[in-house]
Amino acid sequence: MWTRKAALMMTSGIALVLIGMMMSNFQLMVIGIAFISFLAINGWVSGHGELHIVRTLSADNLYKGDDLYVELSITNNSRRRTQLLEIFDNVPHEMKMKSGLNYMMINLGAGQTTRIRYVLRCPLRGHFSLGPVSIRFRNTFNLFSNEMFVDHRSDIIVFPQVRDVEEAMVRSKTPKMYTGATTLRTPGPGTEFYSLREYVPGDPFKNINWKAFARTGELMVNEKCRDAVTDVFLLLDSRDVSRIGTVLKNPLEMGTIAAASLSAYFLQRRDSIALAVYDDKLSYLPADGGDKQHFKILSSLAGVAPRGNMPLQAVTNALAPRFSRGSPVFIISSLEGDGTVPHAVRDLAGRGHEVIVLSPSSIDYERLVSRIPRMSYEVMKLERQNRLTALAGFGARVIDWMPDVELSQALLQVKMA
Amino acid sequence: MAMKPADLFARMNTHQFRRGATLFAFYVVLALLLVTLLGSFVNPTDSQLSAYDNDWDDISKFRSDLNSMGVDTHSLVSSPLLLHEIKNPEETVFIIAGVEKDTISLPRFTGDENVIQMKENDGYTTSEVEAITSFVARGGTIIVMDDFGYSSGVAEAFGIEYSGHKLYDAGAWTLDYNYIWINSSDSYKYTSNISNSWNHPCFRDSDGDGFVDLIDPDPTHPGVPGTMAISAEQAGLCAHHITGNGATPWDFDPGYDLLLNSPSAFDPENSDDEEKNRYGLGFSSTDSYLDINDDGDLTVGPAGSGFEGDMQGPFTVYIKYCLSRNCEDKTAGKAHFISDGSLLINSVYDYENLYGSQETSIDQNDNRKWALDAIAEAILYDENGTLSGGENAQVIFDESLHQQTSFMGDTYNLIYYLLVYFTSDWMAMLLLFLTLFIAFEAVIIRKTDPEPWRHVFSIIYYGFGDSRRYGYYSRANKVKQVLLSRVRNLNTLTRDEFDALPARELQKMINDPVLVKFVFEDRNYSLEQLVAVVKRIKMWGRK
Amino acid sequence: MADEVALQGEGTKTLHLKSLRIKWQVVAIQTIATLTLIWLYLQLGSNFGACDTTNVDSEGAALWCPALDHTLTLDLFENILGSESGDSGFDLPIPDFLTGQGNDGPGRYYMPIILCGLITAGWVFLNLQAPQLRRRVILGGLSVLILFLAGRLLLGWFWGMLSNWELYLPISSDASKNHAETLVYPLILYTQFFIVAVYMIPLWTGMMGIWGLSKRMIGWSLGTTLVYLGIHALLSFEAVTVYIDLGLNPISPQISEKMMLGGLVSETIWPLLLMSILMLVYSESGFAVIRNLEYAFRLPESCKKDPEYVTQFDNMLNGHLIHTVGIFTLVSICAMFALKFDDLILDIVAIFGSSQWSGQVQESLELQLTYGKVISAMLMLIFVAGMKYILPWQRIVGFIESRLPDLNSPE
Repeated sequence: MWTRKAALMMTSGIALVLIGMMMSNFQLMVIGIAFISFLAINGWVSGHGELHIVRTLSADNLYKGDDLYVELSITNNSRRRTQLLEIFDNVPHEMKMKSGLNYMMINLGAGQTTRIRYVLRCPLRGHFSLGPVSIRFRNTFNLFSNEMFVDHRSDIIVFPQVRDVEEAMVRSKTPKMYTGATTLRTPGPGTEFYSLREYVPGDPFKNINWKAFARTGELMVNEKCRDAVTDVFLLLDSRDVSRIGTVLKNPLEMGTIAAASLSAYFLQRRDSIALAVYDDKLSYLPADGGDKQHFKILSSLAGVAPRGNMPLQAVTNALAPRFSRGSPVFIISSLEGDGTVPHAVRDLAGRGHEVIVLSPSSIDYERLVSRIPRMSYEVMKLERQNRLTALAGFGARVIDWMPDVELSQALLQVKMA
Repeated sequence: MAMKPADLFARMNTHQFRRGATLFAFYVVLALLLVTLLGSFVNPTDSQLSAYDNDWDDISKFRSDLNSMGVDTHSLVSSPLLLHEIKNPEETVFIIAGVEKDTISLPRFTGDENVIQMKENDGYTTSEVEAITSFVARGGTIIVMDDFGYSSGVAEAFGIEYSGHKLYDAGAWTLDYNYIWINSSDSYKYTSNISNSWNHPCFRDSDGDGFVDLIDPDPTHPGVPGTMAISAEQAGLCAHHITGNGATPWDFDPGYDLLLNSPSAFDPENSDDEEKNRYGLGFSSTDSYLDINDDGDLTVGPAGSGFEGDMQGPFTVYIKYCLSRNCEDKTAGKAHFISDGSLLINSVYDYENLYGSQETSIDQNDNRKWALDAIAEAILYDENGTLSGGENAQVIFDESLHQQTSFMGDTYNLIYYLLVYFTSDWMAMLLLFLTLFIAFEAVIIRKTDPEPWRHVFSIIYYGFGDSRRYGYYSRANKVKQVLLSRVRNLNTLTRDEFDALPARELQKMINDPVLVKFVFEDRNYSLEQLVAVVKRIKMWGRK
Repeated sequence: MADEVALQGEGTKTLHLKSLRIKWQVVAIQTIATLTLIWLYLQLGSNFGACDTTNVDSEGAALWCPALDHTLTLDLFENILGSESGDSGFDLPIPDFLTGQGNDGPGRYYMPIILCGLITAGWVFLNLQAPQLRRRVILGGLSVLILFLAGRLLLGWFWGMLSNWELYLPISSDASKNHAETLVYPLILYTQFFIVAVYMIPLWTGMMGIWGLSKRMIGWSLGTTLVYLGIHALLSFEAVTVYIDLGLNPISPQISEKMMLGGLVSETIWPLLLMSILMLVYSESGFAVIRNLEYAFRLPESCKKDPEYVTQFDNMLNGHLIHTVGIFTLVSICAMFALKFDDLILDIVAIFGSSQWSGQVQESLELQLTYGKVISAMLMLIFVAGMKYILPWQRIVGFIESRLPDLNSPE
């Protein structure tokens, strides 16, 4: 492609020749011819993009806010010079160049190699791809340019951040067929003390609490909490309304952090986690445990984007057969624009699930980007309070999560009916 | 598979088809325009009167004579506009022999009340005619030989008009009626009976020793021996005056017997005029007629019969125009007009030989002598003691309006013509300037360099809510609705239970006179009042 | 693929402006630009530095014309002042050996060129100093100039008022009270300096642009040169000289038959072509230095120290030097061939035999004039440009360059 300079030079050259002819001035004509000759000869020299390019990353997966180290090795395997080339490694604009540069002007001789090294900071979760590598030949005198690219891409996943969650409130009442780490609040074989009760025939002799017997004169036995694994269900609201706020602070972003943190917490305790993300459709990850499940959950959370308007009741109805009896269900949603939430929560609670609603305060996120009149804000807040109160009335544990409150802090503020 | 008419219409309705059809139509129109344009320029007839072709009807012998006399000859293939570039016009002769085609031209500014002239004359454009007249004004000599052709513009610039009709001369023809003799005893008598031939380098012999002054070692003393020793080399451009006759070795006769082939004549109203330095030097006989009615026959119309008859001569067929009176200033420009384009064709000029398909021998004539004398008169303007032309002496043949024998030749000439025209004609230059200006502007505006590559970190994103709802939330009704929901929630009532609640019960539940009034009174609230109510509702919840 | 990634390295050589300014390739390109600028100016002086020989008065004395010769204007200025003062031996304050007055040919320009160089050196050196010092020096310089202009007048005037003990204006018909005369000498000096500076604009702006890394200055230098060529072309255009003839020496439209460089180029064409090529070399080299240094300047600090970037920057500069030499040599040869291409066309036409067209072309007046030269040159250039699609020049050039010795090795 001709650059502006070349186009101007060509036009000037022709103009000078013609004006020279008009004015019978040979000097102008010769300058014009020199210009055109300069273009003609420069047209002979062009660079090539026959390069061998390898990109090495310090990690394929990383957490939001982490740094990614990138090295781009460029080798000219041909037997001629590349001429002046601009190399540009296409980096997603969501990543910040922390140090170095993803751009270099090179002129590699035959067989020569050079390396571009740079560090990226990844402030946003998501699935990203580095590349392709853009190459632009630029004539020495900036007359012609030719763009090429090497389709070399590297995929990375930036997971949402995982924060520490206080062991606080998640206790299921329903035993499960697997033994596991989460202590269910039902008596049974286990290690943790649950309560004292009167001795009934058949109780193991070793369970008798001799101190209590000495004090009361009646045979009392220690009851233990039953050790069991429970399925924890996380329902993440990824509807379009969850996008309200800034890029780093919005209900969805906070929801992904909460989901990632809760899943990490429970998986660490060897519980099973199921994740359902609902936006314009329902994406469901069946309950499972272990690192693999953790990776799956984080990958899934990395990819969520706000869209659609699926009601919660449709989600709970669809998942009803999959919910394990009595398992805790976390609903992470701003609760905006969905009239089915109370019904869904009532149904879940009615079926014996412990429902925990973690609700990022959408109005307060909206306040970060819009000037909401004070009056309207207060009324909307009151309406939201009513909504949360109503959910609590249905038996859910409701957490009103304000933007500037840490997740662990928020989880402690469980609102009960 | 045959296409259904509906499919065909559907295809014809597509954007692609319409675009293709428009493009096709555009190129067809463009091609038609081009063909029309070229058609006016390229005329596939036999070429003639070219100084560079050797047929019987070309004038190559004349050119080769000039070359052998040491005169440089040049062709002008583009346009006479180039005559502006000639730096030594006083040593240059420009020859127009037959103009066979029109030129491409643009409208031009006239400089008078008409402002712009949309239609040019046939043949030379006005700019070209101006270039030719300017050339003469600067001391150049032109020889225009044309009959019915396109050179009328040049003639008109000198006040001469072609009659445009064929000349017949019953009193002076030979071979057949197409060949007419024009005899002149002295072609250098301009305004009186005294011949001005003394002013011609090939005739001037002051001492009458038969040795012309320019090569006479002593022009004032007669009887210099060795008159016979004048060689063709010495005689230079006057070499054709060497007779080879011992008695009269040098031809001093200023008269010419010119043989014309199918000539025309000048319009008697606009021909020779001594007052304006247009000297008529060649006339047809009194038995000559101009075929006014163009019937190809001699017809005499009696006066008052209403029948248009041919006009009887004599008619002027050769006019010499000089810038100076009696052509006395040798450096002043001259123009020769002859109403016959074929005066110098090989078969007539070189009557001793036969050319190409020529079968008839032509009579001896003075056409060669006349032509070479005209060249010598133009070129030998200074007293430098030689009859040879100077270093810059040149004769230019106008080949720009001659048919070419090949399409390539015509194209080559056309390209040069366009270039010369667009860099010499004011209107064309203006157009070219505008085009160049527009091209520059287009490059500056439209041509952009490739964007510099740089990484842009951009996570600017604002998820705005629906701001239209803000107004809705500041209405009293909405506030009232929120309050009632709050009352219902805190009292754990279902909707039905709440709706069925008596007013008194509800008042009791609210238990706040202000809020009760707010719920039960239907009136307008100012913003301040609503704010106060909302504050109260917030407090109410905490009781 | 995830792997260990090394951090950017740090070498001894960096791409900081301070070290780049003394890099041999950068200095070489700047020197090329400077030398071509000086050569261009001398060539301009040689071609456009004289009036037409007919530009004389009735007594045969040469008249002034707007030729590119400052000494003409200085002579005129000197003569005017001499005749005004009645002193026939009047000399301008700046001595002739500094202005080039009285010299002929390129000798007129040597000292002004040296002065331009010195002024440029001072200016560039000043620009490298701290802003405060720079401001002080500029203010000091201006103060000296103002003092030199008005100091004597003010001192003399105040002393006069004190000694006469009366208030009066410094301009008076009374010689003892007329102090304005003291302004004459500095004003003449400044005018003389101004005249030389105006004529030398392409030089000093160009030098300051090259060494002070200012695109704007180089633009001014090229702009004034082109404007001068345009004005010269216009003022020597026949259609203009009919109305206004300032006595400029027009470029001959006739091309000399005398050849040079082994018959490659006509003596008439060579200086014109040389000027065009010099102008191209100067502009390309001048702008290239700035373009390359801008790139280096904009790199992040870590990249400036990265040996990979340093190596590639060296490669770029070496490539530029090689292309400057190679391409401009080829451009010169190509332009010469192009302007000689009319002869080849005639030879080709002669092959067609003695047809009407070939005869016409061989004797064509158009080919005798510049028209033919230029059109045939354009044809040749189209052919040359088209060669790109016939011969793999890029491979050939790249291959040759790969075989050239590494310019970095001696460093």
